[in-house]
Amino acid sequence: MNRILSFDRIDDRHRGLVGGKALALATLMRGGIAVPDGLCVTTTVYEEFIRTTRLGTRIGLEMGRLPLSDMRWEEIWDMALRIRNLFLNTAIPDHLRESLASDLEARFAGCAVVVRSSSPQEDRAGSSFAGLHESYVNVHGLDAILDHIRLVWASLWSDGALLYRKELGMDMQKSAMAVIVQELVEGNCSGVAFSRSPDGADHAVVESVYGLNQGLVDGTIAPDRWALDRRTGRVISHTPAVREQAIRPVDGGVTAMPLAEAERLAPPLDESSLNRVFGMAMTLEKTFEQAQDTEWTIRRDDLYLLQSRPVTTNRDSAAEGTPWSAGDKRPWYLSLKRSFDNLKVLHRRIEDELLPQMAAEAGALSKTDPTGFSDAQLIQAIQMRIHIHQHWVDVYWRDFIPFAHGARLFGQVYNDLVKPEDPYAFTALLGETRMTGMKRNRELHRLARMIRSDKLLREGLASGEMDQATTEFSRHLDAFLERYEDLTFKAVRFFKDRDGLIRLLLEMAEQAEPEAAARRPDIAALAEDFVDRFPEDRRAFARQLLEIGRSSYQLRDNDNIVLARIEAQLLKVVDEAKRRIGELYRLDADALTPAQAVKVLSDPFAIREITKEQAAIDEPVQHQGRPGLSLPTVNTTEGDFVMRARQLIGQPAGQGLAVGKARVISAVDDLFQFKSGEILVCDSIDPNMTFVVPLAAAIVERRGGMLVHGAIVAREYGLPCVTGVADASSLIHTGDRLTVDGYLGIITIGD
Amino acid sequence: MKDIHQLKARLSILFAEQYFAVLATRSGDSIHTTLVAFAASDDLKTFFVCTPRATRKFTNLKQNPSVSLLVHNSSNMATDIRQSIAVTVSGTAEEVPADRLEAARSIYLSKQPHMSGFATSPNTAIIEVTVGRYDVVAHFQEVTILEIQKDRILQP
Repeated sequence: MNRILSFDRIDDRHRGLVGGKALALATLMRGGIAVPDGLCVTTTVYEEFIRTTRLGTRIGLEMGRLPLSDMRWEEIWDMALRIRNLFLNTAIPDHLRESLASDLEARFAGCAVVVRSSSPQEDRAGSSFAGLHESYVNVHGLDAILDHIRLVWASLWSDGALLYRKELGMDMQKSAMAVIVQELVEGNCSGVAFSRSPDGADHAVVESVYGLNQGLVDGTIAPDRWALDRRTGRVISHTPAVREQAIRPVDGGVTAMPLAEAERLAPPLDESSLNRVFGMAMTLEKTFEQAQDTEWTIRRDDLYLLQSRPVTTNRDSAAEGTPWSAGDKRPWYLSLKRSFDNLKVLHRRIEDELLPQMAAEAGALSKTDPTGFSDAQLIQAIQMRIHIHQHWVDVYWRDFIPFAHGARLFGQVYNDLVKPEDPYAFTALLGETRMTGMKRNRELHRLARMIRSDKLLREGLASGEMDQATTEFSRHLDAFLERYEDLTFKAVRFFKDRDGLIRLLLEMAEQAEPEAAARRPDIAALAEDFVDRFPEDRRAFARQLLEIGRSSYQLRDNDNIVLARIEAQLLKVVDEAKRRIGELYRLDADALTPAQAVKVLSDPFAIREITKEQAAIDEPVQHQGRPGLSLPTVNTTEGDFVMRARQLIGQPAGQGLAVGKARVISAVDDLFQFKSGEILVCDSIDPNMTFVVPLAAAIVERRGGMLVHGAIVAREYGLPCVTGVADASSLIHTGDRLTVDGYLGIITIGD
Repeated sequence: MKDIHQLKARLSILFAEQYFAVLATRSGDSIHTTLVAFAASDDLKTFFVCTPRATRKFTNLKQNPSVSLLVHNSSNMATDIRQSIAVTVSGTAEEVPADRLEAARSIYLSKQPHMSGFATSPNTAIIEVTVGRYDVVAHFQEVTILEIQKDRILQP
């Protein structure tokens, strides 16, 4: 049985067993090209592993939860995380382990290796899985090699790989993975070479960095770049990098290290080495009879080929607008993986620059009162604010959404290390109540407490006599309104008037003081335990990763809130314009978009044209793909047949069981009608609406994912929560009696 | 299943694909289940099964016409728990009277032609179950109810 094959035994017949990458390396080795020696753990082993451990069935169960086409990117990520955890927690059976151990030990005892994917579907014409499957560098010892083989197997089911296979119409259940184990060549410099530029230009490209090439491949370290004439090898251009760091092996992994002074000043390749790399790329193109994308490294004077595959041309993702404006954003979302070093830079930029700038901008805008503006000034103010708002929306997509990957990266490192049964155990370390929304909610509780403890005040407010309010209460209420005047929900400002807020406060005052989650884990102890699992010299990395994870987790709340403040400042001037338009033309101007308001205000005749457009208006301002105002319609009757949902399923995102009446949130008013003990049902929880969460008995959300806002907030309050419930807000109606099972992710409607 | 047209189409396909259902009848406090070959009418309002008259199910349904049928497409694989669909049909059973016997037998035999000997035997009764409601379970725990409300649309 071909469980393991050394490179010198691999030939064309083995493609299905060893995958394209291993076959290419073996072919090149036989052709005299220097390749780090290695062997391939064939797909037979993978298949035996998933069959004998019954992992295949468990993966099938995971995959059967929902069709991939109905999943949001976060749900795909979650599913991939759960599958990865299944691999982490399933030991390689003894008979398989023994069959691999002797070859691996004989070949690699005492030396560092690279463990790499080699899927039979990879690198075939028309498909490139570049970067979707995992590779691990600097792995020592049999146990670690076997652990990493499982991780490479698991990467067959990574989010990106799943989506890509789906796109290509490949049968996921029949996919298999071979794994290359190769000696690690610790190069002085490394890089990539394209015998023909991937952007379609007719020249060759060589890129190089000092140290290993992981930093170049994941985008952390900028390379020196040469364009060369394909026929002569003449250098057409050289673009030097700002050379600061190199990726080097450290205990059980790799890390970015500062370069020596001499390295900073000189390119990693001299002329002769550049020629050798170019020459190798062109030789490979001849061998494979098509342009090649290669990875290489140079140790002392020896040039090694690490990988060679056909060049795949870049997809023109930005052909129409920004990549995030595409209809199906999922491929873009899944391309957002960031390396640790990359996240570190993004973290500082977001925390130190972008969030403070955004807050300052919102603060400055809030100081102007548009009621005193002339029409011309108002038009100018709206136009300026549309521009400012758009700028921050772009920042949100460009920087904030990718940074959300920080929490995911932390989760992956945590799971690899701790191998917890619950793949989401890591969220306990991230959940600290530093979110802006939590602070606002605490202030609301303080106001409610004042009402609760003062009977006269309570009665006065209940009867609508505000003069009964104590000076102290009024002062706090005014301060609250001033601080949060710019909260919005679906492009409506929450606190345009204070009646809704007072109604909500009275409801909150009826209830006992909310308790913190019943059994909060000791976060400090968990964090310490996580850090202590690393060797001494890697603990600084562990702490930094935890900090990035936390910042990323909290950003899911804070960025939305600050962005909503900017949006509210735009809406404030637009509301003033609508008021004027309404008075002038005696019409309801509520549905006008900001741009339409400007148009009507500057050209009275435009109103006719706009009225025609009204039908097409969805949402005046939209920044994060929030749902439209109208709920999707669901056909539930046909002739004398009537359909109703009895039990809905989603993802268990907050443990616990709750029974109560549903309150479906589709507009601001629904929030202010919220009664204690009701179950919050919505399309997606917006951080700006979480102030009703303390009143809720449970949360049900259409949007899926363990790290979506509803799930984060539910865990903060210890509430049962189910996310990813398809059509939750249309199949459930306000007043329906619900049972929310947060352990299994089941919603039962009715008694 | 979020759309009624989609749901009904799914049921039609299931009832066409599956030959057998589990029929539950009742006698006092005891429930009796049997595997039966069935056919469903195109409008999804009636199910037809055949049974010899000297059977416990026949005696039971004569005494208590409230019956249930379970139709599912599980193929005895572990992954069926998520991928299969199971439908409980609740309704009222009665023996098809002579004037409608031919029509009922024709529907039944167009689905189960190999049962012609059994269906035409003198001691075999053709039973029609007038459906009141379907409980459809998909994806392990997703339950949708489809009811037939005869008085929902008033006749002119």
